[in-house]
Amino acid sequence: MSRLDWAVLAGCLAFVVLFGLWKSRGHRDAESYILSGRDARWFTICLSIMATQASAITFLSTPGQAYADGMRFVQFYLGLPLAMVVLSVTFVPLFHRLKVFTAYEFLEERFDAKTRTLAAGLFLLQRGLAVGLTIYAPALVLSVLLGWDIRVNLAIVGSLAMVYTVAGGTRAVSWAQSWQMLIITCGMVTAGWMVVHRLPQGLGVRDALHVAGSLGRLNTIDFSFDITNRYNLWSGLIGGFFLSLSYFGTDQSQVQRYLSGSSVAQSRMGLLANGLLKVPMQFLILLLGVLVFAACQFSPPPVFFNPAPVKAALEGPQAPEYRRVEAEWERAAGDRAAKARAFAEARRNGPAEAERSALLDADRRAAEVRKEGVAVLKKASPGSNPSDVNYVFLWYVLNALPAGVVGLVLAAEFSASMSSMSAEINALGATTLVDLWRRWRKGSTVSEVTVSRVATLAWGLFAVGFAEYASRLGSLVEAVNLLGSLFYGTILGIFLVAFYFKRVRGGSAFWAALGAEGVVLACFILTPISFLWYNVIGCLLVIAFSLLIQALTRDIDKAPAGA
Amino acid sequence: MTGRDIRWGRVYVLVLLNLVLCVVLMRAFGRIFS
Repeated sequence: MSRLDWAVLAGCLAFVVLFGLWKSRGHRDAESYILSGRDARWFTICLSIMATQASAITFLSTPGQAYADGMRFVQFYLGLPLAMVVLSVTFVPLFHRLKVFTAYEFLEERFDAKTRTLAAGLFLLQRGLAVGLTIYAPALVLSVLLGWDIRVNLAIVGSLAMVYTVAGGTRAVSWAQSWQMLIITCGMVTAGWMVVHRLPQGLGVRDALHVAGSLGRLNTIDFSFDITNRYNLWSGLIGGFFLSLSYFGTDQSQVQRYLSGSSVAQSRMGLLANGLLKVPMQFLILLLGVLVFAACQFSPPPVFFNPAPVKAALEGPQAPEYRRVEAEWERAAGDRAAKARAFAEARRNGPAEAERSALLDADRRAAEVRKEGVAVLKKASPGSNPSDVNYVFLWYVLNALPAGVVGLVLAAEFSASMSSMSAEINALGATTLVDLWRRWRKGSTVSEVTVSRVATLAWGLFAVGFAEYASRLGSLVEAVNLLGSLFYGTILGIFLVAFYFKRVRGGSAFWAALGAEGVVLACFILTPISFLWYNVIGCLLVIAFSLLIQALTRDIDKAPAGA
Repeated sequence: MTGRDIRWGRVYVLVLLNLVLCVVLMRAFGRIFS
């Protein structure tokens, strides 16, 4: 990294932290600290929602996903706009009317204390563990590619995010997120422009897109229905809808963003603007990955983007075998580059079917050599991850883009890491105060703002500590990543029963939730069903079990009036 | 903006139409360049 890169990176991060601290002044009570005094405008809410959802790994792995698998990942977000509409109609006016601080408070008013504690506990468990991974995953990529110590990286991101989050609560988080989104947008747009600018002489965006399209990377929409296929229109619309409804409707890290709105209208507009922008935004991030893919067809990349297993292979007994694969790769990738150029040039004058088929043959040959290389790496480091998707984009940025742009992209990655972490520890602190402290320490004379700050700091330190420890967890890291999808459907089911089945009582909902969670865990362990469907299964089972238990216990008539 | 002056039904339809438009355009984009 050049001095200019360091200056851009340090300048961006310092500005965000100082701005967050400037917005930290004047918190007198819990409402002002947790919900920013309910004064947020719709554009702040929208940016805050987007910044919370998009962590650094989103910006690292989404372009890599497009590089490896094409653009079909965009379908994952198709259910989101539908969920924004449903939330605007149902959840938002209800939460505003009840003036709740957390989503789980509503469950005690509607059901009972144990159902509220169950939902709040599931949130604290899964989000508490996940926040560590939010900063661990990008820190790992940065440390491998830049040679930085991962512990130092985690300590910097963690402490910078904690400084303004602990001091300023939701207002500081929201304002910092607005600037962080600006830095992220500038970083990604500049990177995209530079990728196009650096295409080989005589080739343009259209040529690059035709090459990527011919190699199957523009597979945006797939209408086929397959329950084991993660990304098609139907899993995106149905599974994505339930996932988004659960995430935005019941995860406090998102609920807190729109509860800070000054009115129902401001909160609604924030959510709906997110519904308008999210799909196009993901499309553009994936398009960036496709352009990187196209650029790598003309100037051959390495066999494997993650340098750590390559280094291990070259230092071990597999070195001669890997060098042979590298030499073969150079030939195969060079041949593919020549075929790609020939196709791009021939296509301008007509269909160029012969050149297209030669390109596909060359690509198949290159893919075989790469597969061979990955097998050698796996032999050299048996525990290593055979996927290098997370490394593709940053490798390209570091190796192909000029000084200044590298610093800006790194600032975008750090900003994304900090924005997600700050919103998450802010929500964990709020839930700890409202759903645990207020219930257990009624009448305490300690200021609630102080308790919130201590809880936020404690969750921040836990996140950094867990992230430092994550490298020793190995494959358990993926299990923790899946944790959200395992619980979201059940939590959403509890809320939907609360909203729409007014005669169901707390006991029925509580036991139905435990039963549904058991079935979801069984599906995860015993079946190949794709994880997006767990949200649908969990949610529908809670509703079905609640109605069944309620009917069996025959106490429908004694039920209190609904919310 | 108080919310009373906004026709929310139209805003919801706009969000859903935007989704349909995105699907159609992305499908067309994939086909044009493939």
